[in-house]
Amino acid sequence: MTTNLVAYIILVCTQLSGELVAPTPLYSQPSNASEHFSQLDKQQAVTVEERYRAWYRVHIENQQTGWVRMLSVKLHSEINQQNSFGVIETINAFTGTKATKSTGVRGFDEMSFQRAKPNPLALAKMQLFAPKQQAVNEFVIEGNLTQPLGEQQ
Amino acid sequence: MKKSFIIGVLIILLIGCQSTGLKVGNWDVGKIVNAGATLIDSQSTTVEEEITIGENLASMLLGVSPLYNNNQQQIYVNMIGNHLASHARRNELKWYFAILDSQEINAFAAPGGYVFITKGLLDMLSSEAELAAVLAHEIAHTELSHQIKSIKSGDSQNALSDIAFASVSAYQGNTGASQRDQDYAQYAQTLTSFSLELYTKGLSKDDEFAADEEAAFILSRAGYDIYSLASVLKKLESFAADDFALASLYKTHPKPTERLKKVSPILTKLEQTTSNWQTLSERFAHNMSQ
Repeated sequence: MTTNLVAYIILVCTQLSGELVAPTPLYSQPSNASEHFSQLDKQQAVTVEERYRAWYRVHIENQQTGWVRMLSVKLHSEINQQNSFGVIETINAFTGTKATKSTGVRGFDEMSFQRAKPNPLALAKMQLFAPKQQAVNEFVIEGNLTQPLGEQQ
Repeated sequence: MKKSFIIGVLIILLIGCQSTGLKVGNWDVGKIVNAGATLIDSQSTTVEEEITIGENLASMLLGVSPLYNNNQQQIYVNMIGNHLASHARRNELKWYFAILDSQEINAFAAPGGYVFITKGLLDMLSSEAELAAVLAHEIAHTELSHQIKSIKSGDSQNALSDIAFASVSAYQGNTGASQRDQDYAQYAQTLTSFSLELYTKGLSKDDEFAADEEAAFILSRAGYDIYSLASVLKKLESFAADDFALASLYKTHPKPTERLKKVSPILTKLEQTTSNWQTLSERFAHNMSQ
């Protein structure tokens, strides 16, 4: 229940805005063979609701919804200036879970490396996160992913 | 020619000195120094040398940014990464993945199987497939030995020369109370030189394009939605070129628009043979809420 709610929140919060970079047909399905609703102009503002393979389902001002090729859309830059499209704050507000922002500093610049000292303790901790093969296999099955050839039954 | 000769002499000195067993804490300084020296001396690098350099560089990256303090998410990233790595062509490596506690938007790989993603980049993703795309790109760099090639390349010769000089100095330094500090300084200088080459100057554009292409194949074999790679690039493309969070990514990678143009025909072609297209947005959302 909570998982579904969180997933819904993520989907809602990750709706992106953008504009078309070229004139393009608005398709009824994510396929070139599907019906065209209309021809959209370059710079048409769109809200991206969903992605299916190389297609975005977009909503446009006059309430029409349809599919355009992903590459014909330029997303707007405001999507993530302040971390995670607001997803973290929204999850916390709805679920009381402990999703947190990064508190780390920005910048992997030359100065950062000049100042840095190797951190073997953190490396040792990182190595502890490595999962056992059995756990990875279960993870793969749960996600209906593809096992490497040697592991397939 | 002259420089190569000097480096060659230094390598001989280094190899002659390797039995000194120079150590800083638990770290075998001689090992990293000699692995570095071998890079410039020989065409091939052994897996052990690659791992030695990789774990030291990983240690350096963790000196720049700490681990993100969320074990559940760290383990989740390792699950995905290890599954992807099982579809790459470096089965001899043990792979390790980590989220760095940094708002910068970037990902890194060190030789030998070490892969990092920043919390800033993780936050802008919306599915497991997108996270897999980022990790697959980094795995591809290691699979294709891009970091080792970069260290060996012409641009790295000055740094390598510095490393060789520094190392000889470390081996031949005076003994006494200050020896440990001197050793540490030389060790740190060696790592800094490698790190600067790889993580602030970046790999070649061709290597970045090749990693995108190989990432698409890894995603396809692993059962992830291959267009998640394009989806991540579309998100990166949306940022202003001067956004501070992307400063280092833009400095070390070709522009996302350029990468999209290169990888799109490959994705279109791969679409014909890809049979499994998992996106796993819900599993991603669940893990990000932990």
